[in-house]
Amino acid sequence: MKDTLTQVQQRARAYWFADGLNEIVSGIFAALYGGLMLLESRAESGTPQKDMLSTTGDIFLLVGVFLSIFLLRWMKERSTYPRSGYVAYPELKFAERLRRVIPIMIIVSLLVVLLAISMLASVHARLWVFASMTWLPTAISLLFGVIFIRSARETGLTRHFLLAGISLVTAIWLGWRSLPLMSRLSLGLFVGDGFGPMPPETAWVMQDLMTTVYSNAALWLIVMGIAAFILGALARYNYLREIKNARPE
Amino acid sequence: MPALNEHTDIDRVLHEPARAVIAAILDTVESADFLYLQRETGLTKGNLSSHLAKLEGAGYVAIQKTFRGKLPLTLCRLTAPGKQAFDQYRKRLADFIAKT
Repeated sequence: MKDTLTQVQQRARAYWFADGLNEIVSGIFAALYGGLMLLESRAESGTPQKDMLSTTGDIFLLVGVFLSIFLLRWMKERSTYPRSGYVAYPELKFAERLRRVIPIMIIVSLLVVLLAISMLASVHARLWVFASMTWLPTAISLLFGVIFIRSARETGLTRHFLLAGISLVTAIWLGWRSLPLMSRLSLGLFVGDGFGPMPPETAWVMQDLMTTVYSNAALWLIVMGIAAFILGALARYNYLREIKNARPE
Repeated sequence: MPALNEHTDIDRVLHEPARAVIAAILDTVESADFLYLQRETGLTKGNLSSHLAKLEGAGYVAIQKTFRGKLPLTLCRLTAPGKQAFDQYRKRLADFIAKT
């Protein structure tokens, strides 16, 4: 059982999410971007429609990230802080951030180089890399499930446990959707020296693989976006009701 | 009676529920404003001001009066000695509970 002071600290950590705005804004952004990705994955390749959707998606991602952050801060300044107070959280200094990021960047770069070399050297590595790509959306879904569980434990927010559950269930569903592709991947597709154009059969399988990976990622974004939006809207309703019922002196 | 002394020389500034809660909040965040502390502690403005003045007097809390736009903003922050005192206070409490 947690003592009172620990509960107080947990509430302070959860205050950033108390108004539900984070989930509402990020939910809308994720669902819209997922929708664009899904439309793009269903459009026929080489058509102007697909190119247009691809460009729109890229612009939406770039602008949307900055716009979401700006909108969230603006709404909190206008709506949350005057109602229930302002809290600033400890931020890492630039040097500290750099010290954390540099080892990750070095490890990722080494992994990329190692993968590229092994893909050129071995047909098994080529098969392994493409088979792994099939499971990328499932892995991301699992990762976010874990992130939401950690956040729920730190803040005590039930809706983050719910989001974790939804992300984990979605991971299973996406994994199920990826299974048929695995039977189409075989060593024979990747035989060769690794240079030059792909044989047509390999190119078709790769195109199907990329389309499935892309649409799985889109479906995950849509599911999580809608779930986050609904849970955020409920949290917002409760927050406003609580504020109305408990006006301080 | 060294064992008893350990418990009687507990920090009296922090050994008060409202001040312990204020310190716990400020230990978690970088800074919080008066309105947030008032809502979280459920204290009246006068009571909260009095407790903050005591914490400020002990050097545990730094209070900065500023403006956000045209509205006055009172920001409270736990100082380094305040953080140290609060950590020690929690350890003392945990020890006391473990021994009894």
